[in-house]
Amino acid sequence: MTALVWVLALLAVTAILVVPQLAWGIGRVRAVVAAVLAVVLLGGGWWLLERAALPLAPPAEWSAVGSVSSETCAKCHPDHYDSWHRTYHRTMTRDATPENVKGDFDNAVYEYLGQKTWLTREGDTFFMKTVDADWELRRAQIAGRGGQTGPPQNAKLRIDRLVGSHWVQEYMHRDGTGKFNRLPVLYHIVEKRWVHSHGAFLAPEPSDFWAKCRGFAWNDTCLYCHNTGPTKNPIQGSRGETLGYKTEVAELGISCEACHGPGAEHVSLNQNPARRFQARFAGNGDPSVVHPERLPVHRRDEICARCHGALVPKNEMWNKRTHHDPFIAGQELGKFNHFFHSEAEQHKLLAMNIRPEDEPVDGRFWADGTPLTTALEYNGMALSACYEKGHGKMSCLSCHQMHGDDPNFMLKPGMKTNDACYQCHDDYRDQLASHSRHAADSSGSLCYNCHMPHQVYSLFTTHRSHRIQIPDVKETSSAGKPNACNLCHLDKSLGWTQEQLARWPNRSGKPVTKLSEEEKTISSAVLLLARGDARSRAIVAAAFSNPDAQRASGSDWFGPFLTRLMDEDRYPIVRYLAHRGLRTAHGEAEAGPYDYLAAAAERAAQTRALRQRFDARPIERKMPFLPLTPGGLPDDAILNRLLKSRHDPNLTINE
Amino acid sequence: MNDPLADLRQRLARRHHLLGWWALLIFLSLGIGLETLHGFKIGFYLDRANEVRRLLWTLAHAHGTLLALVNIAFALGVTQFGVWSERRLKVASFFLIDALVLLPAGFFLGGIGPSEGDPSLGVLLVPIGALFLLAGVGLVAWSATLKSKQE
Repeated sequence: MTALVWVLALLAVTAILVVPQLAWGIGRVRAVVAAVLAVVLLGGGWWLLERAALPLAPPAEWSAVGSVSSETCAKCHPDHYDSWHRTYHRTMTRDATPENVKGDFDNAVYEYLGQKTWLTREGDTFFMKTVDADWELRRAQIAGRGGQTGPPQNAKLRIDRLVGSHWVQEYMHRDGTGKFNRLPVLYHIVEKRWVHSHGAFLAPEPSDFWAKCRGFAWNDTCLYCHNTGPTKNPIQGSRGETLGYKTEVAELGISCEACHGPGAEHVSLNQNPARRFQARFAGNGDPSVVHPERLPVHRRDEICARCHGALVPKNEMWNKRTHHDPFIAGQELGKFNHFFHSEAEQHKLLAMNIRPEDEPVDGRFWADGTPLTTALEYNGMALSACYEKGHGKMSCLSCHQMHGDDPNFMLKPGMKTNDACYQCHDDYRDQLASHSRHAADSSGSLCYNCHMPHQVYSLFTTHRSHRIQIPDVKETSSAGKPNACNLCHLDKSLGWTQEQLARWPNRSGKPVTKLSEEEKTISSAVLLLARGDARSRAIVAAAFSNPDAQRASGSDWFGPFLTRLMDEDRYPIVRYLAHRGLRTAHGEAEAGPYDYLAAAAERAAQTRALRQRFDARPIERKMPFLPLTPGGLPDDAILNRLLKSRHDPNLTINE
Repeated sequence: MNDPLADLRQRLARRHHLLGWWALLIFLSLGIGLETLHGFKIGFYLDRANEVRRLLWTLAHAHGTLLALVNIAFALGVTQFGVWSERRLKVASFFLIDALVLLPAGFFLGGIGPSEGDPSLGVLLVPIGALFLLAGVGLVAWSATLKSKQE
């Protein structure tokens, strides 16, 4: 029934109730005439409103629709606004106001390699006083020619914008050209400490204090995935060089319109109450705004893929002057962007040369295309058999929700458990232990641990892979991608894992991947930590702080091995993750002091002290896959040999 | 000698007293009910998602109470002042009584099933009730303004 019929029915009922009373006062005929007149006038008014309402249809041209702010949406959708307001999507980019700043600016002083940085606050304005970027550049140039510079010159920079609010907060200073420059010291929210950017990303430690920030502009790098409705608007010189920016966004952070499309038309149309009631009674929602759950699965997932997928813009589809992102939720993402599944593919699409010193190129994908960093979850999911063969049953929203109570991983209730997989694989519910070969109530029977292990690095830690896979040793042996089994069974070798996996149903019963003698006899974690590349080392080092891994492998051997392996690493993040393993296994007091960003000599002294402490307790139990001396300490000859054979190319993960 | 208009004024005064005081009891009780919902932090009433419900039920309580007092005031005054014809008196009386029912009922029903910031369709009783109230108060004001023949 339409709203007009409801209105007329309501008026008629009211009139029927009122007419007898009216008749008592002014006579029956007059009363009826008055009632009919009233019904006609009020019903007619509503009918005119309905006529004025535009039909329930999507905008003729989405790109012509203007944006409104989330505050506008809140007026009619307060509960959705509130649930969004709790998320870290909202706070991905913020202005530097007291309520948004997470770092300690109470006259804090942070020292990195002898250079001090002062973090201060004056009223509601925040400052970072640190080594002047130009002075540092001159110093590097002079030092390159063997010269020496005087004491460092510092610059006091106002903090204008913030990126991140969950794990890490980065600070941006806006210069006179409209460029937001990343500042070299950031705040690690999880550890509640200041960290130099050299210790925040998976990359070798350069000598230039500003290396991770030089040439970095929020306007180029963070803009498109950390904001809604981004337009870069570079100011270009006569030779095409960028002179500055007039960057605009519909809203800082990821807000309503990132997923629901621009809302100006929706807001304008629905000022008419008759249209709102029409939409409500139609039951199919209002097409003047995008509702992801009403979209086909692929279109729905592409909204997430816009920022959680690997994309390169299709230049011909983007405005060459403004660089405005033309994608609107609900449209085909591939119309405006190329998807890629390896860094080599990305470089090819961008017509970029691969520098030989960056071999292997990939800081973003494992060799089998599995994403290695966050922000590529869509790629992982799309490669999964569950997605490919799921006939549209599986989507991001199978497990995640944007308007729930859990802002951390935005999972639906119950989705941290096997109920996530039982949505499609309910038959495993009753045969969990026989399928997993682990006790049903153990972490080995949590589907995620075997099929979505922590093979993804970003933000000082590892995250679950979104490529749902069956564990196999092949990728570990050939490409150094740690497998799910050895990320828990840190003390076991690849050979042991292969034998265990061969006993699973539908497997041949025999090992099929040819493994080296070392892979058969030495713990896979120790092997990867000693001689793997930085990607493998980071993933494995992080596994040492996983409580499930500590239970499965025992942690009594962590100290002697990690203290021998972590300080040899030229990637600060690997040092941090390995030391985090020690801290979680043995406690802060026993695992310290150690600063993964201290100068090499200081770190070496700290490591020596730690090693002596842990070596005082030799490993007495039988651990067949750990290279141990008869005295129960790590066999340094073997470890040194492995370290010498380390494959350690330069690679960078800027996440 | 019996004056039919004076009888009518008496009868209506009694009717408005009766309705006014009972309505006052009902709508004050509603206020206590709403306070109770506050006291026990009932999400159905207090959650931000239910802001429209809270607003409308508060309005139902406030309008109901106020209109009950208006009806009591009418009851007290109808025998005391104003120049009334029988017709005008009857119509003003029923307008005030219907406003007393329709306005709070519209607000209350509108708050039962709100959606995305909009009340439910029951809220349409509110403008009808508002028109009745306006008309009723207008008639009372008119009668109060007129001068009797004795004056």
